[in-house]
Amino acid sequence: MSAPETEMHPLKALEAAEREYAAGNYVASSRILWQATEATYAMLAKAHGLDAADLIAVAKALDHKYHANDGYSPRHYRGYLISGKLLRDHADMAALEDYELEGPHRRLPPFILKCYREFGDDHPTK
Amino acid sequence: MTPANDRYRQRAALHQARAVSYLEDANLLLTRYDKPDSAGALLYESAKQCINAIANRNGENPGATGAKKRYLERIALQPLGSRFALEPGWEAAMRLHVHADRGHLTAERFQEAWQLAQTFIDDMLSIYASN
Repeated sequence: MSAPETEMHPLKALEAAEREYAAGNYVASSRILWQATEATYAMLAKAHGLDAADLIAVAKALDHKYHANDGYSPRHYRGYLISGKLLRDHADMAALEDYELEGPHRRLPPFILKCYREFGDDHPTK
Repeated sequence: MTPANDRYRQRAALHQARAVSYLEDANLLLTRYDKPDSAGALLYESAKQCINAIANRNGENPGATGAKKRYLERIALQPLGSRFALEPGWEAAMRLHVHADRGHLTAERFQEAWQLAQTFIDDMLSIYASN
């Protein structure tokens, strides 16, 4: 992975991850998508006045704030975070089969887009 | 998803019993014997048994792990399945599975994956019971 990919905006990173994934470069796509996920949680932390140093605590706080009483899973934010971390595992260790990567690559981009639509100050549509 | 015949129902019950047994044993390994690697490996096996149990209950037998994952995606689209974070829960179990081989998770990250994987199993067992 090239250095600029680590600095690109998460929404641009989604396009890069999609390109790498389509090309079969699953380690690269996993790393880019994990970094975009990590940046998204840092953005969410900033938007909610939380400490971005502990992303698990950020995810728990957001689940408590938005999903404690809606009748659905109270593990919405924690779930997407663990999906991103599974990609980090693959980026670091190439530990997973291809089929195990499909789910996080399918679910994380829409989640990241939704987060930036709702909470990102610098979303291109704002 | 189609109704199961008697043979599939029996297999479903066996898988459900194994899922519960592995879940209990995994917790014992972690809490009584402080063996997180073994506990994580067993919790992953419990998660797989849950998928088999629901699949057999619905007259299907997904077989290999890739097919189990695809079957799980179908469960997650069902009205009841969509109420839970099933796919991330499975991915948490996957992290434990990788950890059993690579030992890469810190205690905090292991705990995070453990909680979500355990919740996945609880959710899957509740789906099984509602079928």
